[in-house]
Amino acid sequence: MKLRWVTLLAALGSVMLLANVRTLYAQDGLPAAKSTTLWVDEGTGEVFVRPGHGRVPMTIGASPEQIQQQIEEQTQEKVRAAVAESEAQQQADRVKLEQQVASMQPAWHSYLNNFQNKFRIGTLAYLDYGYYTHTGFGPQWLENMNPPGVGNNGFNSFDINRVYLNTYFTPTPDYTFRFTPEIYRANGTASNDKIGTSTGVGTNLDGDLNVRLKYAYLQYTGLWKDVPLLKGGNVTLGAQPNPLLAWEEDFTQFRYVYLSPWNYLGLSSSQIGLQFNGPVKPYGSERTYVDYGFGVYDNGSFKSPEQTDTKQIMGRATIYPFGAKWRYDGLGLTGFYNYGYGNTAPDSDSLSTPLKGSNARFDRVAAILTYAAQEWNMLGEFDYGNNAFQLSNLYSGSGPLDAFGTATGTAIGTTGGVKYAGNTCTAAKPCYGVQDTYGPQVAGYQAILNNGRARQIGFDLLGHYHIPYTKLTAFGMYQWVLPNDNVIEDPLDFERFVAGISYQVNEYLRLAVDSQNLLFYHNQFGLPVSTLEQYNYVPGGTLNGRLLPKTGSFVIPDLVPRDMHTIFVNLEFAY
Amino acid sequence: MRTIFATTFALAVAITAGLCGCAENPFLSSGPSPRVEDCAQLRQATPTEYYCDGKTYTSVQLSDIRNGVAPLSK
Repeated sequence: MKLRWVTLLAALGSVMLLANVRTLYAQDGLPAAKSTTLWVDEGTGEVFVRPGHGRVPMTIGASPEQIQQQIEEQTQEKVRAAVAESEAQQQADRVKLEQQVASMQPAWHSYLNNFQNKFRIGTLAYLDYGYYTHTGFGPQWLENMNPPGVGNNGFNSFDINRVYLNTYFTPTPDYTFRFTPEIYRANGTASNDKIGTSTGVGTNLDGDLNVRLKYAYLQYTGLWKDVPLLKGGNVTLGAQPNPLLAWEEDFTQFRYVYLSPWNYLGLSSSQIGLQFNGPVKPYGSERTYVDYGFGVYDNGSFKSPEQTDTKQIMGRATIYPFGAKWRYDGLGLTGFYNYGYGNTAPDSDSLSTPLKGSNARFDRVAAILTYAAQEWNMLGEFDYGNNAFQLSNLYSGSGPLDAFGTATGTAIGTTGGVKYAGNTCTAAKPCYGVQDTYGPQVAGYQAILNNGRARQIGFDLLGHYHIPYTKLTAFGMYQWVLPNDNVIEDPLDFERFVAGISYQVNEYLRLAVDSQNLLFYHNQFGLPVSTLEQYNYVPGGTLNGRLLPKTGSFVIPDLVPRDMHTIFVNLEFAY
Repeated sequence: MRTIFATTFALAVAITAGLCGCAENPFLSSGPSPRVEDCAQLRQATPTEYYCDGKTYTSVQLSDIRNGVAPLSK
């Protein structure tokens, strides 16, 4: 009986246990969040599970959308915070970088400011158009002008006479370094070039406008800073303007139109050497009573290599008896002296030659009287020289071929032995005739100018006048030269005169229209060989491979050169 | 010589015609003083120096005066 009751109780318990077992579903995630909405009676406060009159909803728990929105907002909040932190860091880094850059800038500013205050650059250009109503052989009107000679009336050209690029470096107030290149025209025969065995290239050495050094010097202006009498003086070393020409060109104010007298005769405007310049202001005055420049230089000019064992000296002194408030003010008396030696190496200087030419010792003197007012000025000059005007200076513009190594005209004697002017002319030794040639004349000029005893005398007058209330200035220059006053009647005596009017366009630009003229003023004549022989003409000598007239009574005709007349329009640009 | 006289005469005619009362004659001076055409050139340098009415000027200073820019004192 007991076992039956146990079995029955166990079966009943199992049934009860199994009846309460619920189905266990697969676990596929967290149960979805669920919000519950109840309804509240606002009057009584009772909570109901259904809506009704007077009841408002009350939500318990958040919906998935709300939770998602909350998560997104939290995420964005975190992102914003991170971005703000990053920006703050960048700002801090930027500030730090700016401070570092700022600490570097003063060095650059200092350099640029110093450079701006200690460096100057400028330019000077002379350009022109010239129309030659009458061409001839003679000195250059201006640089880089080489017109064709006699028989080319109507020749005209645009020219570039001068282009400077002036640079000045002034690292300290007392020191200045100047560097000025300029252009020049290369003239000279040059052979074409050969490459390999069958290739040729044309030469470009003749006629090109090239660049060369004109001025390069170091100047110290503190030499007399503690000496009131001489304060403002300087010492200069290098290729620099000589004491006369720069002073005179600045006085005339028309360097872009014409050369000053000694410059026209061949004195170079740039010399390499050591020079002292300055004013003398006595009595504690601000007025200048003396203006000076003197120095020692190479015998060669700036464009030729030095060959000698000697040097030349130059000096100029200008006295202003009433004191000058500004440069050139009032009455001025100027004296200039130059003494030097021909630019020849010592081993050839001592050789005896009938024509010393450019090997001769030379000197130049100028005595100048000036008066300058603000709007006009005048200059009168007396010139004296020895061996200071050679044949090469006479033909610095252009000259006959016979003066440059090429015989012209028909040679006499090429077909057989012929007697002419005291010579026996053969094919091997032909003679110069006197027709259609300048050969004998050139030989005569060489004797007159290059004999080592030629004495120059000259007189010059120049000035300008500004026409009141206008931009116009009239100017003129007259020069009279006896290239060798030891010759009783020198066919080469000449006059040069310039007359024109200039127009001031602005502070940097001027134009001028002018007439320039070279007159060999003697009537045409010839000289016998015996007269020219006194000046070291060699009778029966040789020029360009031909024999020159020999007989003493033989007259070399037509020794007076042709005149030259030109109309110019000149332009100056200076900055 | 004829050419010289002809050129000079032509220039004189042109200048005289220009001086006869035209309002803006390019040959006549105008503008504030000092004007470069009234000054003495002292030195052709970088820049060029002029003397005018008791003072020294550079070409740049005279240009500034003409253009109405405040001039620098020298």
